[in-house]
Amino acid sequence: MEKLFYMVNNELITLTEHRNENDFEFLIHTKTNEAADRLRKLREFFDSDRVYTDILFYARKDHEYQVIVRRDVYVPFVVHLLQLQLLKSVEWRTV
Amino acid sequence: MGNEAFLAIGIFVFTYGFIIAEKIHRTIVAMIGGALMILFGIVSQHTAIEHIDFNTLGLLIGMMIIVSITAETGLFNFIAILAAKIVKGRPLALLIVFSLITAIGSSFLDNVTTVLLMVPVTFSIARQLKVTPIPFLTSEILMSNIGGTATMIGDPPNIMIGSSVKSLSFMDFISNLAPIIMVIIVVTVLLLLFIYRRQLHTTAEARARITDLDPGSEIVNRRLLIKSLLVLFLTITGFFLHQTLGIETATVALFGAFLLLLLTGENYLERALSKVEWTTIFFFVGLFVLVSGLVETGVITRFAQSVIDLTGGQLLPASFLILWMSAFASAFIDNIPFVATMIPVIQDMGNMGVRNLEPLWWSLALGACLGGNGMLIGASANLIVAGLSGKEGYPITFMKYMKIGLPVMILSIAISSAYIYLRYLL
Repeated sequence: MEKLFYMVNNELITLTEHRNENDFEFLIHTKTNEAADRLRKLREFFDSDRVYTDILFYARKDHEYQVIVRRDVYVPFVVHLLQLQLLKSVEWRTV
Repeated sequence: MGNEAFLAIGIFVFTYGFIIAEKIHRTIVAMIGGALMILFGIVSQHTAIEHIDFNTLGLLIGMMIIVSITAETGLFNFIAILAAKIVKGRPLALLIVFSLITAIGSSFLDNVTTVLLMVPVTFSIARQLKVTPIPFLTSEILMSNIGGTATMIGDPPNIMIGSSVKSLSFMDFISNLAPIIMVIIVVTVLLLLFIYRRQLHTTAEARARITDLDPGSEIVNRRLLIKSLLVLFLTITGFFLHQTLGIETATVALFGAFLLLLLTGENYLERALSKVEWTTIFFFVGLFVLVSGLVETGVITRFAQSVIDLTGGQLLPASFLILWMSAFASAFIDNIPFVATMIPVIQDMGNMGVRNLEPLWWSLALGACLGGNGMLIGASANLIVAGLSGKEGYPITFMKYMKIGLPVMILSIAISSAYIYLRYLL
């Protein structure tokens, strides 16, 4: 079975991922303003498509963001994190 | 009535039928209907253009530009999340505050715009609380129509009435409609709380996550926010003063819109103009021309005479007839063509000797706006929310909505009847 693995860009963010029944929950802490701006761009991209429940962003105190990602958009979300260089690498591995 | 009148009625009924059937976009149908009135020689192009109410169109375009720019600031998300925090994520309290935000928003913004701003944040908060968003979305549908009734710029029927009746100012709409709308809001919210009291429960943990949110982060462009709020303030002040200043509301709205574009810079121009709902604007143009055919051939005068004959020219039965007829008509069909038809009817009733038209105008406004709550097809905002909700996996069906919407509509029209009677006819 193929599974997506990624390496976080630790200079910009810390990230934890938690798998729920129907979605994935990410807690992302941005370390710089640049990282916060990139995360905002990511949100703008997913908010602009008028599909409201695929990815939900919640801004918390201390530069922390909770992101709830529906299963079917997990891969696009991770790829966008890579595109914005908040991840260093992404690869499929057989497990 | 001559042959031209029958031809005008034929084109009108044919066009109306296609608008109701919704098989072809209503804008295309209305524009073709309007063009047929000219092509068949019922009205000349010059007369048709004279009948187009450019104040209505200018007001709509101006407000659409201002709102589209303001929406980019994140202001509406900020307000909703701040409100959710203030009520500590309690679902029933949240139902009240989201209802109020929608009602207040709709009274100054277009209903569709208001629900489009509220729906995403509603899904977001409901997911965090792990409750169904349907009660919130239903209340937002109802409140967008109720709140929009309170002011001259809140709902297209009021914009059209305000533009056609020069003696009615922005303040007149507020002083005559806002008090009864406040009563209807309170009654409707209490009813919704009773209906949904068992569905809206959450855990302490979920509520804690709401209190942990940072609304300030929702504001994405503070400079733009300041400019937008300044222009919104100036524009709304202009609406309050438009009659004193001797200017039309469209001038106020368009001045506000282009002042904001001046402040924001040219890079917003193309985007803001592209967000104007041109389909709605052309729908209005088509309808004005369509109705001009009925006006010019004397059909409207004949209809007004029938209303006077039916009611004996008495204000009480005429007001109640207009109120209830407008409500039920608006529950099933678009209220814009209905109001476009009824405005010249009431004006003609005035020409025929009915002295005090004010109760008739308020009856038309209340009936046409509140009637949109009766059915899912009663207003554009209803269909948009139901469509979005269904797409996200929370279907609001025709019947499911009607079970709540129709009683709310009948209750609100009954309250309005008592208000019209006590305030204007006693």
